[in-house]
Amino acid sequence: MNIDGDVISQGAEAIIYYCKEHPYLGSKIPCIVKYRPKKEYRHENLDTRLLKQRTLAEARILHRLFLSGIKAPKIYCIDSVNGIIWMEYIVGKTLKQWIWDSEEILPLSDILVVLNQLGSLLNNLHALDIIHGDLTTSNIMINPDNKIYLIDLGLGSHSSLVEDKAVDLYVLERAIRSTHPVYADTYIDYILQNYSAQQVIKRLKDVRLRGRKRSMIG
Amino acid sequence: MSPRFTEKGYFIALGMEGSANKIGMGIIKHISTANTWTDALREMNDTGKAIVMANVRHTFVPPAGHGFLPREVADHHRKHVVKLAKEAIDCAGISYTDIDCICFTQGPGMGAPLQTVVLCARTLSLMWDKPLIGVNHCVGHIEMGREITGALNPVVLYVSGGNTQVIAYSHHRYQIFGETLDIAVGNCLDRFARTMKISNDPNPGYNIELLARVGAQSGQLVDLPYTVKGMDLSMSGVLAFIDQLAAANKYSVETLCFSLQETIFAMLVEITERAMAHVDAADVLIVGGVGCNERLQEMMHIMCKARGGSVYATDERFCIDNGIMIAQAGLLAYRSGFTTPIENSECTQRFRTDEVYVDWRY
Repeated sequence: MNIDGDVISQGAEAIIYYCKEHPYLGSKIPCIVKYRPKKEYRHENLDTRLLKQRTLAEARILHRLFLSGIKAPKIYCIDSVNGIIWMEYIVGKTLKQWIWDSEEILPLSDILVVLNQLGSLLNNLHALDIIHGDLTTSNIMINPDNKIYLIDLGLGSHSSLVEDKAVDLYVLERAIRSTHPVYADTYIDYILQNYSAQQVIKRLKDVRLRGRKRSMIG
Repeated sequence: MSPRFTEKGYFIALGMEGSANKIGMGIIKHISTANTWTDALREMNDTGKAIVMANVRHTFVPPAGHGFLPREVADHHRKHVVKLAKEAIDCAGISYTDIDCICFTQGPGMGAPLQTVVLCARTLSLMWDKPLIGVNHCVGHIEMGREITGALNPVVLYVSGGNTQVIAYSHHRYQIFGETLDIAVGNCLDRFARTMKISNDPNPGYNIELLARVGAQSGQLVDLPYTVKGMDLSMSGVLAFIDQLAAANKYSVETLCFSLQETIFAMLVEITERAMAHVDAADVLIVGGVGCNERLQEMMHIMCKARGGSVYATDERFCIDNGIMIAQAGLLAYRSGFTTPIENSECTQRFRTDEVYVDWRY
């Protein structure tokens, strides 16, 4: 697959390109191309099935977020057979980088305002019964106006279960503890302040206690 | 904890394993001339030097269509433990006085079999007046895999009947990046073998692998659930689904074995790749009983090649549960100054890989 653009990141599953040309509108608008290459180790039928399923699922979720007004890249075009999605280019940096940078130059309260905003965003996301599936601070972008966007919904799914929403938050919590250890507790508190579904918060407390082969007392 | 050095130029450890249906005894020797911690650390990180003096094992094989019950396995271990200990000592050609420490599997595993072995370890420790070292079974697998293959800092895929974990080393711990949310991959294969009444001799996984090779020739792949969740995976749904297909009698056993392997191994390779991308590692070490499977090794190899890395795997002597791996991990801990006082030597079914402080690595 030949994609005309610059690689900006390469994960385990997909390669992200920055392209100067919008698929329809030409060179005025840049865009992001997310390409999932074939996996040679997988049986061909299985790989074809997964590629199509995952590309379609991600595109559907991105579109639904757009219709609901939740900040995420707008989807422009999709080729599900080859596993390619064209989407909006968001100017800014990852929340991970932003927090690392800001911890040195900004007062803590400025960071907490942004995390409050993240809490509301997650609250709205879960209210639509959408699960992100891979919430980490590197899958959240922040633009120069300090507005935040969700990216990489490749593991996203639909679910109305309290359990799935709580696990979604738990994944984020674990990621924050490993990437931003110093103020992790404060950060998590501020995110959860604006998260209003109390049932989910309650379940989150149960999820924290779980894990395979954890030592148990009694 | 202060590190231990030796005047005689070597250390010898006896390792005892019995967390599942195999009972194993191993004797390992480390040549050592170090008398400072820096030198000892260098010796311990220079892999491929340990000498395997004995590695004996006996496996409890239930009839086809049955699994192993803890009580029966414990019975089996009780019958063989003394004989195997003698065999190991004979095989190594040493006297018990040459042994520095007695290492045993403290967990995780099945309760009754673990207890049989820990009882024997305590007895030997008191009788011979040697210190006890409790070893985490998973850490045993990792340390033996590193020692045999010489892999320096790989992402470890630990796949067996009781465990499925993707592990990477950081800050003196083997951190778990991904793991199964329900049953282990070996358990999934074993239980499918039970449904199909596939023989348990020498082990069900190997027989499934042989059947899958026949199935591969027809190339028919049945769609099964594919349940990767981030860096974790879940396999109970796959098992329930394929058990239903088997009951419907629509596909041959070879086709089902092939489809099951292709699906769950693809899931394992995928989560391993995710972990590699996350920690930016190029190499993979596969350990645990399922790690013997050549199709899994082949798939992992294709993935690693695309990333510019390599796969390290061992054969059944070291992949399948054995005593030597317990001796290896135990001896490293012993040299770092660790001992398990007899009053703290109770075994546990739950013992996470990341609970162990790994003092012997950089």
